[in-house]
Amino acid sequence: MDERTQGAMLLAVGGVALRLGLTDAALAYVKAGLQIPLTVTGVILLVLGANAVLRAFRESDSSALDHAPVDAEGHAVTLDDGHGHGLNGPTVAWLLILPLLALLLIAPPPLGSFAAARQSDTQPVTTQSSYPPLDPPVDGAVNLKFSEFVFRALYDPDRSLEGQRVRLVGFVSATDTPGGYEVSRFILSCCAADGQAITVAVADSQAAPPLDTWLELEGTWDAPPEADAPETTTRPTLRVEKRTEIPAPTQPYEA
Amino acid sequence: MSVDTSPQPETPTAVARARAPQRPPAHQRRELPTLELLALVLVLAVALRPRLEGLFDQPALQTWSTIFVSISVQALPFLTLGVVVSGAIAALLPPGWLARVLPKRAIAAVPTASLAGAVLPGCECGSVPIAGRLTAQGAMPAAALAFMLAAPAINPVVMVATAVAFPGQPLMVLARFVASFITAVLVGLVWHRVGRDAWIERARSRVVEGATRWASFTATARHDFLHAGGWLVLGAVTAATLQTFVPRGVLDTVAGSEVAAIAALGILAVVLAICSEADAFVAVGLSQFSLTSRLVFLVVGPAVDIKLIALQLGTFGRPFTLRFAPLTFFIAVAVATVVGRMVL
Repeated sequence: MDERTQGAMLLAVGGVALRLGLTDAALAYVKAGLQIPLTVTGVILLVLGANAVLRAFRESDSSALDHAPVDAEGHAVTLDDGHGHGLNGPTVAWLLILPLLALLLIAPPPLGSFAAARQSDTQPVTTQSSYPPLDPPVDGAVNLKFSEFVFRALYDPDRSLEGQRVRLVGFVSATDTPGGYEVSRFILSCCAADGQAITVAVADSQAAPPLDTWLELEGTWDAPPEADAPETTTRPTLRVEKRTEIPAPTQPYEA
Repeated sequence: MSVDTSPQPETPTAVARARAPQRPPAHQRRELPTLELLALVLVLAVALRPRLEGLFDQPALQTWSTIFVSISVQALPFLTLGVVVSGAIAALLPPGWLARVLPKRAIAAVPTASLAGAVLPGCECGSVPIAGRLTAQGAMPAAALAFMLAAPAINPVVMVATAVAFPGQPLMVLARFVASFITAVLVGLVWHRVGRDAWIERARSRVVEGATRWASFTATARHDFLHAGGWLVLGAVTAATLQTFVPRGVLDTVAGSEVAAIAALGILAVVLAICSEADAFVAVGLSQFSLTSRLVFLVVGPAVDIKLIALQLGTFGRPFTLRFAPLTFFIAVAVATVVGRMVL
């Protein structure tokens, strides 16, 4: 990989980083906090790339003499420092084209039902022991995060969800469950690679929508009798009263 | 591409060229037109995208690419920061100062050199030539080697990257620092005891062209980024494939047995020569594995991997590398396991 190509590769990666940093496209893969570092990274890489391309053009403009270093007898000396390249750039760097192609050709969507199905059935646990009072309802229902609904349903000793009409936003993750379908949302710890799905079972009189449809659901928690202690595989059930299909949100993962 | 067969005029340039080695000018060499290839591939991808859309609709492939892209994108800023800082250090620091500053007795020099690694970010590509130069400048080999192991592993960029990769688990950052530091010191002291100078051939330092400091900085940063970026992609591909295509039962079985998990991730760390600023994010994608086994992955990676082995072969020679690499591997695995069990 000669200097011009190295420069072009850096320009390509830098351009992609800049685009990801300036638009919402990155939110399918990483948290919003990374957008500024991505923008800065894009600028740095563009500078390095432009520098390499300019140098290459300047050198080819000057003498036509080859710039290969020679020793006293005129034999070309390879500057091979032993890790996979000579004068030119490293071969492994060609792999950098793969994320570019993935973004260009596949434009990978946020994690969906396939990834949710591959997870184990265990719900995430929480160390929170007491739950503050719920927010006041907006338009007749309390807006709740998925994780908050599940944690309150499974672990809140005061059963603060009982009788409350709540509003959840998630995507359809399974349609073959007995008695309805399941809706999930992913929680990220670092980035999409460690996304963990939080799942809620839905009791709905209507038929299940197709997988990966985003829904806004209003309903109440189907509270089990007090005596049953929930297991870690329990999916709390939401009894749906109103269901709306919505476009996929710009922020698909829950903070 | 036409071959110039006209008779050459007798100018000084032509005479020099005639006496120079028989290397035809770049545009006549039978090399792939790499720039054109790269441009072609990217343009084709953009142009054909609407036609190819249906091809990639498979949910498994899409999930694979989401995980793959997320690891690559997440690691990119940290990788760039690492190469920029290490390139700046390489360009700005006067050569030889570290060799002068180190204490003379091994028992003090080795830990000091290891601690110096904590403040000098160095990508793996740079740590081996730096150690070669240190040895050539008179530092004792044990200290130079300890620095070589510590600098990529415990510098601030790596620590921040690890903290970002494992939010809410500061012990992971601490464990990585402690385990890598102890590994560097132990390997250095062991080498001081049993290593022989005869095993180290004349250390050649890498020539980085640069008439000016800016030129040498950009050349170093560019080289390091391309190298590290390529390996990062390989690591991201592996993690994504493990998460998407390897049957869950297999993963759970290997991850479930502590011995198998540690062995698997130790070997994986050697095979995937990921830059230390980025390997924490690949470890993030190995979520079925215990924290201890992932600590082993993070400690072994910067200490010994196939890229480092190749670098060491080139800088220090074969008798050195054949002994040094396995020694480092086993000490790294052992120390990381012990630290992991105690701290995590």
